[in-house]
Amino acid sequence: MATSYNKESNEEPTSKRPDNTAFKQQRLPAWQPILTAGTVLPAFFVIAIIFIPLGIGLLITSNNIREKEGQVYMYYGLSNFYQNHRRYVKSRDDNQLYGVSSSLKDPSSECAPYANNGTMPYAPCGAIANSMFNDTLKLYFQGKNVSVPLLKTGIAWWTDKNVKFQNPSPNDDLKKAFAGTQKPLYWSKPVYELDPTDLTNNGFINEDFIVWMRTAALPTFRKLYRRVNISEPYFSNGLPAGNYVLHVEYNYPVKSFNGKKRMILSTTSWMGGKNPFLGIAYITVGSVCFVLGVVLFIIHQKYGKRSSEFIDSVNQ
Amino acid sequence: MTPQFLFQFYCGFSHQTLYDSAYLMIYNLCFTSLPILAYGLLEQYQSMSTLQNFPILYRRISKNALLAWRPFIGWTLLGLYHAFIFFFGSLLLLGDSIAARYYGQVFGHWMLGVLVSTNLVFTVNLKLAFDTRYWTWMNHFVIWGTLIFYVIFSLFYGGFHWPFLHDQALHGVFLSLLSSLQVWFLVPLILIACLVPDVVRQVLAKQFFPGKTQLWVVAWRRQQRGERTPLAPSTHRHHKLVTSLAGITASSESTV
Repeated sequence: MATSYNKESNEEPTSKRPDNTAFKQQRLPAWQPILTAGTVLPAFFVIAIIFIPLGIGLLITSNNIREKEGQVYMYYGLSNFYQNHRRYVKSRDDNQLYGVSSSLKDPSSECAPYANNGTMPYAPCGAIANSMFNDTLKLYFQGKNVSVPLLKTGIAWWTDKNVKFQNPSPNDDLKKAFAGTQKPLYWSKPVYELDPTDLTNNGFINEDFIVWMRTAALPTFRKLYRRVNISEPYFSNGLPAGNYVLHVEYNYPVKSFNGKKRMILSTTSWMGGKNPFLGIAYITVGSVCFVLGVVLFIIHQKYGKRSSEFIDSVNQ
Repeated sequence: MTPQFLFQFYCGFSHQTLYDSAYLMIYNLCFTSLPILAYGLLEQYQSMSTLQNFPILYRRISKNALLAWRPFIGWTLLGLYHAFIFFFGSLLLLGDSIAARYYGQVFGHWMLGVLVSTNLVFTVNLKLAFDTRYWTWMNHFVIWGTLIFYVIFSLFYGGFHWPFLHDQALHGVFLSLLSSLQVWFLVPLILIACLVPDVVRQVLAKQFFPGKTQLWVVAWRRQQRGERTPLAPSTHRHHKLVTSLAGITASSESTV
């Protein structure tokens, strides 16, 4: 026995009134902060007091980075080399570099025209890999007639070396792993011969290769090349004063694009390399805050009493 | 978008993006939409009681009068100023790829992009936070939530090797930024440099150059209290305002 729903008598006339909830009636409990000179002035002075000494500290630290003392790093630098050009940046196959064997034999089309030479695929493919820096730099200390011991590992990002770049299987026989591919066009030796003495630094996980593949942001850049081995005698404190000779095995052509090459020796501090920018920026911002604080303070003193009403008029 | 444009000067105008494409897509969707939505829904410039007692205030916003050219240009210029600070602040820090990290490794191209976009997201949301005068739990949720989401997203996106993605460009980049002490120093600096003009403008505007709304409210309150003292540093504009105000309120009360 169905009871019919009697619409006429049971329902009120439909109403457009929104529900009486806190949200719909805009009655949510709220915090209503007011930004007045009274709150802002102390904040500005606090910022100034913190920033200016911090900036001075940073500046001193940066200037104190004594080149060639402590752990010394050797970089190579290039200028007028646009590693950040769009076509260049795209020209790589990260899956191939991750060791995926299907990508090894069949690299992505982004690598074109450095994907294959018509018959065999390039390993690694792409313009970035193709243009890898291949000069060899050696440093000789004339005082003791020794070559400065340089480490070629520990120069790439940990995440790159251990995750992003992986050799295709089998890992212990790279020549077999890379069978069916060929070396990039501009390279003189194939990828599995980048460092035959060290299996953890050969193939795709070669650190020089990894460092090169991390594209730089600007056309003038430097990349980490070697670290001075401080566990060797004579060099445990960095590079001693004296005459040095740089020996360059010149393979990398830069004249065609008006590029320049350079070698840089530097150390780092707890805040990275030598860069006075941060210290100067902190001092600047701190001083600006201080000046603004003073200006606001003067204005506040002159007109403060008369304006307190206006503060109350907002939101009460 | 301005940092993107500025970057073109440095990459040979090759249209190389500064930001990774995922960031570009998600930016408008997730990092900035919710906070401004909440702001639009929940912000209360004047309290309800004031508005109910003083309905004349609604006249100010009739016909979209507040969406005028001058404030719009002002906001645009401020946005440009922010963009310049993000971009050149990040660039000067990374300039010449000076060693960013303690072990000598250098910054890369994507680190610049992520650094700029991090500054961007944080500044935009904090700026909105400063402008919000009526903080409900929703405002807290969307603003702080967006910032937290940005960090978590960056960690996830750059933390794993995503098989379906062709490019793993951002792998390890965010972590690398986090592990660089210089970056930790730079970000608060940029945030404060960007927000200081905002804060100063707010303080000055509210206290020393009050807008019409505030003048009307104050004048009305004084009227209620029966005061006759002039409103503010006596200028002709303010005097005119008070007399017209008296006239309008009187007539509106009489019509009710």
